Amino acid sequence: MMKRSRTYDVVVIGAGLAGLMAALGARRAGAEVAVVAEGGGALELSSGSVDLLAGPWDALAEGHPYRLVGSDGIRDGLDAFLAAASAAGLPYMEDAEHRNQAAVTAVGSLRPTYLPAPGAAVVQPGCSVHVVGFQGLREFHPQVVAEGLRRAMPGLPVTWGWSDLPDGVTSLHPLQIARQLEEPACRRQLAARLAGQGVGAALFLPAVLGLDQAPAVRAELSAAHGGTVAEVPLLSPSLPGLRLGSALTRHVQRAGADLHLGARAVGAACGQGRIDSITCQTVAGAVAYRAGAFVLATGGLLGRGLDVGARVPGLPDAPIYETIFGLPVEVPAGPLAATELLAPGGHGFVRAGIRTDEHLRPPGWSNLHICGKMLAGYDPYAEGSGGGVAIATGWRAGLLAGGVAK
Amino acid sequence: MINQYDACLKCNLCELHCPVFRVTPAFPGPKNGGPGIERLRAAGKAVDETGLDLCLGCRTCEVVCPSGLSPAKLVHQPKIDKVRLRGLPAREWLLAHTNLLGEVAVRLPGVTNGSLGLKPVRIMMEKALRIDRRRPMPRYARGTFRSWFARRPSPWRERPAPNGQVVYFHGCSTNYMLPEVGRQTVAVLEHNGFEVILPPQRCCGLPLMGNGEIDEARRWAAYNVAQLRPYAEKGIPIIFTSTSCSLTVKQEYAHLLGVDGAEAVSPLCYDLFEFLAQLHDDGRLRLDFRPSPQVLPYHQPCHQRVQGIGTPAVRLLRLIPGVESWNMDAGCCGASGTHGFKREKYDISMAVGEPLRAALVASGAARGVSDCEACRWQMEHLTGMPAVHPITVLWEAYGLG
Ligand SMILES: Cc1cc2nc3c(=O)[nH]c(=O)nc-3n(C[C@H](O)[C@H](O)[C@H](O)COP(=O)(O)OP(=O)(O)OC[C@H]3O[C@@H](n4cnc5c(N)ncnc54)[C@H](O)[C@@H]3O)c2cc1C
Ligand code: SF4
Ligand code: SF4
Repeated sequence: MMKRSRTYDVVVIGAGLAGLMAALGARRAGAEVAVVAEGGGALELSSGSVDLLAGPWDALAEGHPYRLVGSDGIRDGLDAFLAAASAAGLPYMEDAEHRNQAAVTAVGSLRPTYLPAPGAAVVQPGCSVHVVGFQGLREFHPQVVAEGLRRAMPGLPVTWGWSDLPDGVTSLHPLQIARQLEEPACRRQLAARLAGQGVGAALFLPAVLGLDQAPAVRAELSAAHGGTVAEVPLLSPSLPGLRLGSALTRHVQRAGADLHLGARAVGAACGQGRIDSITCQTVAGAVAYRAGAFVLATGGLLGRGLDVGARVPGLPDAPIYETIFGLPVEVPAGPLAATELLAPGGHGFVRAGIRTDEHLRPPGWSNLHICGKMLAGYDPYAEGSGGGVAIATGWRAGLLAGGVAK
Repeated sequence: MINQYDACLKCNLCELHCPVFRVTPAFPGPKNGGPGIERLRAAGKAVDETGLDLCLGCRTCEVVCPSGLSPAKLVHQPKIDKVRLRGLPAREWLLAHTNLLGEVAVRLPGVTNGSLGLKPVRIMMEKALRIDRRRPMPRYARGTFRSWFARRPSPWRERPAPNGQVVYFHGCSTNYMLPEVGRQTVAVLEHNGFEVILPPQRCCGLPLMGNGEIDEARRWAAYNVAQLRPYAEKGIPIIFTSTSCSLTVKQEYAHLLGVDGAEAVSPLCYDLFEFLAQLHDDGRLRLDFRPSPQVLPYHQPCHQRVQGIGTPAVRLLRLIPGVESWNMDAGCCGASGTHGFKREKYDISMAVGEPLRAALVASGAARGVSDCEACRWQMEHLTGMPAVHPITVLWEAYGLG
């Protein structure tokens, strides 16, 4: 019987933000690339805005992923992301002076983020704001947003109001509203219904203004309003996250990487300090993916690249283990979970991951590179660094793997 | 075993990606209609199953679910229960028996195609059977693929095929409607040194399963397993040119239908391009392609994506000098086998296919490519541009035409 196998220069495991950037990096290095992934990543559930770092840069600990790739590496990654997103139809914009921008949340607080999703509501000095909710859309209350904004920025002129959805919108689910608003008649009617609201102010609407066609929907509303129309992300579902996830996944394939969805990596065959192949489960049995280099981008505990509890045969008992290669996992000392959900120092388990050298390789392995939330030593949520680390380390891991493989 | 509904994280990923949920509020969606309803049912509560039959069975929800659940299976269960109680309605029976209709139609292709193309006939079909008149009927061929195969002399009469034998499971559409796909497949396999074997076979059963008729599907499956198993036991690969047939035989014969011996057949089953990609990986695929500069936007059938085998056709098309090909990743085409023919589903089917239509048009290409015939018909119906099986492109590039 024939053995099922696929041979590539580089195989990336995981199709979250880190894995997709790694695929682009390896393509840039000229490699033939496959991405294997069990399912979706955190990207589609995120706000669609990319956080780089909320706090000061000099406070980063030794061994932090950003220290491994260095400031040039971060810059390279950001440039690669900006170019990819823009080619995919999502023009993300940096602040001219490279500062964080103040993105508005669904409760009207301000969240520092480096790259707001295109069209995301950000507050700029000197602007005035009018928040509009849609009658019946329970996920979004304009008064809550307006009052939150007043608290966050005393002195900011903020008003709010309601609008009816266009007649063509027959649903109150954010996803279905977004799809129906892509229809030209619906867009036009919404523009008409908003006329007269917040004249001279920036209009902040719930982030349901279209799916793939969002830029066109927003442009039409802005033209009718005669000023800025921006979106405030809902908690769930977050359409800007979905837009970014879909567009980037498409772009990676357009750039020539093969995406193997529904392929769950379950094990590996290794030689002297090298990975020869990994094994994925498909509906007709196992497939061996052979490559010159591999990138591990399986997303840590939330992405299921790490798991808790079960023993791995032949390895010392660890409370948290890596699921494919059985790599040693660094778990911070002290309690794994803080007693409060939003504890200021974060939770220990979030920092669990794989320690690497500056080539993002775990000790002892020459052709395996780790990126994104699989890396040890950072807390994306407490630091506000999730998207940035995934981008910088993913891109670097891909370039390195592509270079090693070629 | 944990219950499916207990493993559901309520993460919404399935709902975000479900092609039907986003286009119609009438569909409860994979999260609520799957694990959600299952939980109520298990608790003995009365459940509202309205709208569940709008599911296309594309299984996108299963591909994206981080908990490894199959909401699609749960959403489909009420239909199976209903058919078990009441049997298949006339329209569903007709749409699910393409093979039987095919046996008649290929003998009288002029009459069948002619009358299926007539407006009064379509209006009648729409009235009586709720088969949407706007959906073009696939055309029946003059003569089946099998009759062509039986008539032609094998190229391996004088000497054995250098690379051995393969079994070809052609499916109904190749046999009755698209015999050229079968002929091109045979030509390419023979060009690569294989002898093609054509055991007797029936419809894989997916149209029956999709319409909820599990017991009859199981009988057909058992017949096919009996035909295929002897070859599987000799290690002879079994090749499919329809991705829905391959998914069904690879997975559902054992999982949903529980047919004896299906596990022995599944490991030998390959989608045609999965097989050709394997040959390439083993260094056995002939690469004597003529340069043929062309842009080929590729649409991956949902029933191939859920197999976890990537997009082997794209990889092979790129081996042809001058070809630019990529997976458009524009979601489900919306046809989903027989669903797109149904009157009440036509508009949903077209709305689902809209992103694919836009991607095809934006590509500026002269034709699109997909391994599934239902996807190709939908691509043509959406855009008016032709869509071909990737084997057609390979066959042309090998100069076998
Ligand atoms: C709900 C949520 C919201 C967030 N919001 C933001 C935000 O607004 N801005 C921001 O900057 N950051 C945000 N973050 C943080 C940031 O998104 C993540 O830190 C970052 O995206 C992690 O990316 P990743 O690629 O490392 O992992 P993931 O996105 O988790 O991807 C992991 C991938 O690996 C695959 N995988 C896992 N195991 C296997 C296996 N065995 N075989 C094959 N594939 C496998 C998974 O299917 C998945 O495709 C958010 C995180 C979460 C969870
Ligand atoms: S199978 Fe497809 S249409 Fe049906 S619930 Fe799942 S994603 Fe939706
Ligand atoms: S994707 Fe899976 S876990 Fe998430 S809501 Fe759907 S069924 Fe539940």
